Amino acid sequence: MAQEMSLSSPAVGVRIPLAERMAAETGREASLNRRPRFAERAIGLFLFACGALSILTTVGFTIVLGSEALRFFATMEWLNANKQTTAAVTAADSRLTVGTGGSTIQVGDMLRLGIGDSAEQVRVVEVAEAETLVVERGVDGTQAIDHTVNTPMFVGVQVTLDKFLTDTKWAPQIGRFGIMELVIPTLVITIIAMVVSIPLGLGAAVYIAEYATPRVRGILKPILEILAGIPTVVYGYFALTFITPLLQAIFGLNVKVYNMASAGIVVGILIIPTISSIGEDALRAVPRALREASYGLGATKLETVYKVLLPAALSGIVAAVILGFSRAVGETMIVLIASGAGPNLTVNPFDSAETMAGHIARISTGDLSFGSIDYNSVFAVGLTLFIMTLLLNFASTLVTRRFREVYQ
Amino acid sequence: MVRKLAIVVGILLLVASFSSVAAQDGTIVDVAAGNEDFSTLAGLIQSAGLTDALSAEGPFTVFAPTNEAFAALPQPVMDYLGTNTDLLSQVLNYHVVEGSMMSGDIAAGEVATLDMGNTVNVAVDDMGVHVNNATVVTADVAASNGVIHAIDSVLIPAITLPEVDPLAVTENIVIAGSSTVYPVTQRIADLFNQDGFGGTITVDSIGSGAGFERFCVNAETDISNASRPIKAEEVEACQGNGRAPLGFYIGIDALAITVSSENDFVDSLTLEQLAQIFGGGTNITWADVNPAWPAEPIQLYSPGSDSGTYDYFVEAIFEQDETPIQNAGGVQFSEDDNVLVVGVESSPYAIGYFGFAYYQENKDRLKVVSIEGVTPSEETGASGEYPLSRPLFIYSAPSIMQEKAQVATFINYYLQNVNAQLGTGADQIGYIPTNEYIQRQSKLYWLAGTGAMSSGM
Repeated sequence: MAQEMSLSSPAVGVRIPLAERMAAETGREASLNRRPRFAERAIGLFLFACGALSILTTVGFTIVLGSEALRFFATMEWLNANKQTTAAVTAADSRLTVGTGGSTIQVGDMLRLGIGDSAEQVRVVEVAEAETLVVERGVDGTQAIDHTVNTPMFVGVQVTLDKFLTDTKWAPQIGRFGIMELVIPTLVITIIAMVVSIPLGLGAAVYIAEYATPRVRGILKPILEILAGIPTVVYGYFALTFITPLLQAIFGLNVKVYNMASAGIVVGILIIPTISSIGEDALRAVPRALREASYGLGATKLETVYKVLLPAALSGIVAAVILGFSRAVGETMIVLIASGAGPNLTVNPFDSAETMAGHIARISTGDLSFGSIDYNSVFAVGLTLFIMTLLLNFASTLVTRRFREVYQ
Repeated sequence: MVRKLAIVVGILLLVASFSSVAAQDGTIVDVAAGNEDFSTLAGLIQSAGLTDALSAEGPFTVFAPTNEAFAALPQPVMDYLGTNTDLLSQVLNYHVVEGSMMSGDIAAGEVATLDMGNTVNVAVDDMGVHVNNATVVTADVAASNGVIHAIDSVLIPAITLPEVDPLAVTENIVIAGSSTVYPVTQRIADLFNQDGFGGTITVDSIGSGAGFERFCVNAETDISNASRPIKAEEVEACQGNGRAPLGFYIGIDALAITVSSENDFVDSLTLEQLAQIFGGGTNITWADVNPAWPAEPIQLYSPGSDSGTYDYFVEAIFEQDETPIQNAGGVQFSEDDNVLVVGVESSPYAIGYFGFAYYQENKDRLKVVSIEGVTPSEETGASGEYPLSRPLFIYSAPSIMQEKAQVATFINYYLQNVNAQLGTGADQIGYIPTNEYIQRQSKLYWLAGTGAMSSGM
C-alpha cells in the first residue's frame, strides 16, 4: 500500500524524497506512509467480518455438536423404568420393593430413585424376588436418603462408542443406541438418489454445454435452476402421492406406502440441478483449443465429449457429484414425508425406514426437553451426520486435487 | 375345594359382621373416629361441626368414603373443603340417609339424603351395591345410632356453576398438551371466541408428556391437555413452581385398533394377540398370530413415544414396559395421526392404533377391530367394557385460575359445553362424554380452583 502510494505520487523520479521536501516546505515532519483511509479500512473490516462470521458459525456448530455429543457418551442416560417403589425405605435399608410392570431390572443395573436434587443412585446387587431388590445405597457420590412410597425409578445406561457403532437397533427409550439402523437407510436412499441424479444431471450438463444451441441453452438452463428452487416439502408430497403409487402400480403391494425408493428417486431429482450446473461449468471451463484439436483429428462430437471433455473436466464433475452426495445425505423434508417414520435396519428399498436427518427432524417436532434421552441422542446422530459430510468434503478436495488437469 | 373354602370364608364373614353388630359401642361419629379407614372422614365431620348432628338419635345410614377415597381428591379440593365449611357440610350431609338401611334391605332407586333432600342413586348388580358412581366396599359397620357402609369414592351433590360471560374477560390463554385432547379444546376455544371472548387462545398439540413439561417445569402454559392422569413426578415438578395441578375429567377416549378396509381376515383380536403383533414387529406374519390368516408380514403403525396414546397403549398392552414395541423391527412411529391413517389404509396387511376420534373421521377408509370381542363405541367405552378406553383431562392450577380470570372463565365454559360437542353425531368429536357424577366432580374442582364461595348447590 505504502509502496503504491509513493510510486503514484508525483515525487517519483525526483531525487529529494517527498517527505523531506514537504518537511522543508511546511517546516514539520510529514509521513506519507501513514495517511489513514478510514472508509477503505472499514470496508475491508466488513468484508473480513462476513468471512469470519461463516467460519465462526461453523466453529460454533462443531463445538456445540461435539460437546453435546460428548456428554451423550460420557454421562449416563436415565431411562424411565415406569416402576415405583411400593413401600417407603429409610436411608439404612438395603432392600427395595418395587412394582411389577415397567422395565426388567437386572443385577448390576444402576438405578436412580426420585427426581431432581432429591435423587439417589443405587446399584442392584441382587434381585431377590421379582419385586424385591437388594441394592447398594448412595453410590456415585449421592447420599442415601429416605424415600416415600411411589418414588419414581430410572435405569442408567452407559453408551459406549462400541455399542453405538455395532448395535443394530436405535431405540433410545429402551437404551439401545445402534446408529447403523439410521446410517444404512441413509446410505440406501443416497445411493438411489445418486443412481438417478448422476446420469440425468451429467446428461443435462453435457447437453447444455456441448449440444444445445445458445437459444435452447437460454431456455433450458433457467428451467433447470427452477427445479432447485422448489421447496423440498413439495418434493416430499410429490414422492408420497405420485412416485409411491407409481411404484406400487409397477411392483405391487411389496412397496409400502412409506418407502425408501420413492424418497430416494425424488431426492435424486432434487439434486439434478446441483450436479448439472456445476458439471456444466466444469465442461465449459475446458479450453476451446482441446475441443478444436479433437475435431481437427476427426473425432465425432460424442468421441470428443467422452474422450476429451469429460476427462479434462473430471475434477469439476467429481466435485459436483460429491456436493450432490452431501446434499442427499442431509436432505430432510423429503425423507421425513415419504420414507417412513421409524428406524429400520433394512436395505430393501421398498421398505419403510428412517434416515439420520429424518430421525432428528421427527424427534425434534414438538417439545424436546433439555437433558432427556431423545435430546442427548439427537446430538450424537447430528454429529455422525456432520462427520459423514465432512469426510465427503475432504474426499472431494482430495479427488479434485488428484485429478485436476491444468491447461495453460 | 373352592366351594368349601367359600363356605368357610362366608361363615367367617358372617361371624365378623355379627361381632361388629354386637359391638355397638358408640355413635356413628365414634365408630368413624375409632376406625383407621375413616380417619379423614372423622376429621372432616369434626371441622364441619356435624359431630352433634350425627351423634343424635337418628337412626342414620352413612355412606362413608374411606381415606383412600378422600386421598383421590386433589389437595386443592381438600384445602377448599377445609376452609369452606358450608360446602363441606353439604357434601357430608349428601352421604347421610335417614333410617337404618342394612345391606340386606337396600333397595335400588333414588334415596333422599340429609342434604336438602337431594337424592343419591342406589343400584345393585352382580358387582355389588353402587351409590352414584361409588361402590360399597365394606357393608354394615354398625353403630348405636345407625349403620355405616364404606364406599370407594366421595359422593358429590349436584353443583351449578356461575353463568359464563366470555365478554367479561380479556387477555390470552395458552394451552398445550395431548394431541388426543387437542380437537376438543380447539373446538371449545373456537366457541368461546365466537361467543365474544376477545383474547387469543393458543392450543398446541405436542403430546401429554411434553404438555406437562411446559405446564409444570417451564410453567408457561395456563392449561395442559392430557390423555392420562398426571404422574407423581410431574405433580412434584408442578408444585416446585407453585402450581398445584387440578385435573378436570372432560371425556373418554377409546383406543381404536384399525386395519385397512381391504383387510378381510381380521375382525377381532385379544389383548395377548395385540402384544404378540406389536411386540413381534415386521419379523412375524399374520399366520404366526393365527394359522388361518395369510403368511404376509405385518406392517405396524404406532403413535410416537411423545404421545399419550403411545403411553396408554404401552401401559395397557405391555404393562408399561416399552421394550417389546421399541425392539420390534420396522414399526412406524409418528405424532401425526394422519400419517398413521394413510399407512394403515395402504395395505391389507397393515395394522395401527390411534384415538377413537381419528377412526371416526376415517371410518370409510379403515376397519376397526374388536378387542376381546368388544367393539369400541360410545356405550362400551363409557361403561369400561371396552378394554382400551381411557379418560381425557385438562389440567390447570388454583394459582393460575385465581390470577387469570380468563382461564377460570374458560374452564367453566369448557365444563358446561364440552358434552354437547362429544359423541358420534354429525359435527361432534368422536369421544365419549362423561356422566353426571364425573361432571359434578369437575365442577367441585372448579369451585375449589377459583376459591369461589359455593353457589346454587
